[in-house]
Amino acid sequence: MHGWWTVGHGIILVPIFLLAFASGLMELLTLPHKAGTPEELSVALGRLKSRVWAIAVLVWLMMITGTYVSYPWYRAPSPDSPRSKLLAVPDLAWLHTFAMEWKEHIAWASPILATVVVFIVTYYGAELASRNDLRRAATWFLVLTLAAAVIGGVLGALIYKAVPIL
Amino acid sequence: MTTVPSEKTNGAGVGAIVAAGVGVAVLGLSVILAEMSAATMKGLNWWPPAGPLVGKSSMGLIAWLVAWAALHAAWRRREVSFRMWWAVTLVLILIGVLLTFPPIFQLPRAGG
Repeated sequence: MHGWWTVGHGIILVPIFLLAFASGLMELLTLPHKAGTPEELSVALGRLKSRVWAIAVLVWLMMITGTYVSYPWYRAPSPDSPRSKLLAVPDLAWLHTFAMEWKEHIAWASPILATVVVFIVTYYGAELASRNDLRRAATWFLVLTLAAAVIGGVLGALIYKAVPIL
Repeated sequence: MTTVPSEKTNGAGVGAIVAAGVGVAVLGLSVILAEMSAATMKGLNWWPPAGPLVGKSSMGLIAWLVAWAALHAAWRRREVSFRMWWAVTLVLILIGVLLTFPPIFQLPRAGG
């Protein structure tokens, strides 16, 4: 049961997130070039909105399942918990004291940043094509969302490799 | 190229951006404050199965939403300096990132 949640959290949601991110970033970067006609702009904007909404929903799902489902199992006080196993082996202890402690905190920046991107895209809509400053800020926020999620994902994979949550 | 006239001010967007910076910074501050004080660590333990992580992340989320509501109300009809507030946001995000980096937030732990 624990394993299925971990699979959902890290192996199903993450690849979908990466696909949505790549597509969303491309739509955001190319939005001004797709403003040839109002119809083209409308289609491009619709695609952009669907991608950034997907990114935000996926990031929130990753954080909620990670913090409220997988993490309690990870840090359970029993000697069989992944945390206890890591701390019991000096060579693996860094996977908790550095990897998990960074992952669990920094990853929470992702849903904040992704939600603000959704707001900017939804609120400004077609105006975003000509609002270079806000569009660039949204692009940077999207990249920072990915950076925080990648730190969490890579460190999580290292932890899972050492002590799978089964 | 289709140019859509700007009907909205930049205040709402900039307010959301700055609020995100506030949220990330408060997240980082919560992490290091919990390390500096056992009472704070205990106080942030809002849901024991996940430990103080729930309190620390929730503090960041609450600060973000409160800041967003306040800045939206204050700026949504105004043009504000994008350049200045973007710089402020990047500094806030940097503070938050640094304070969630274990070698930094674990310094109080190492000092006993």
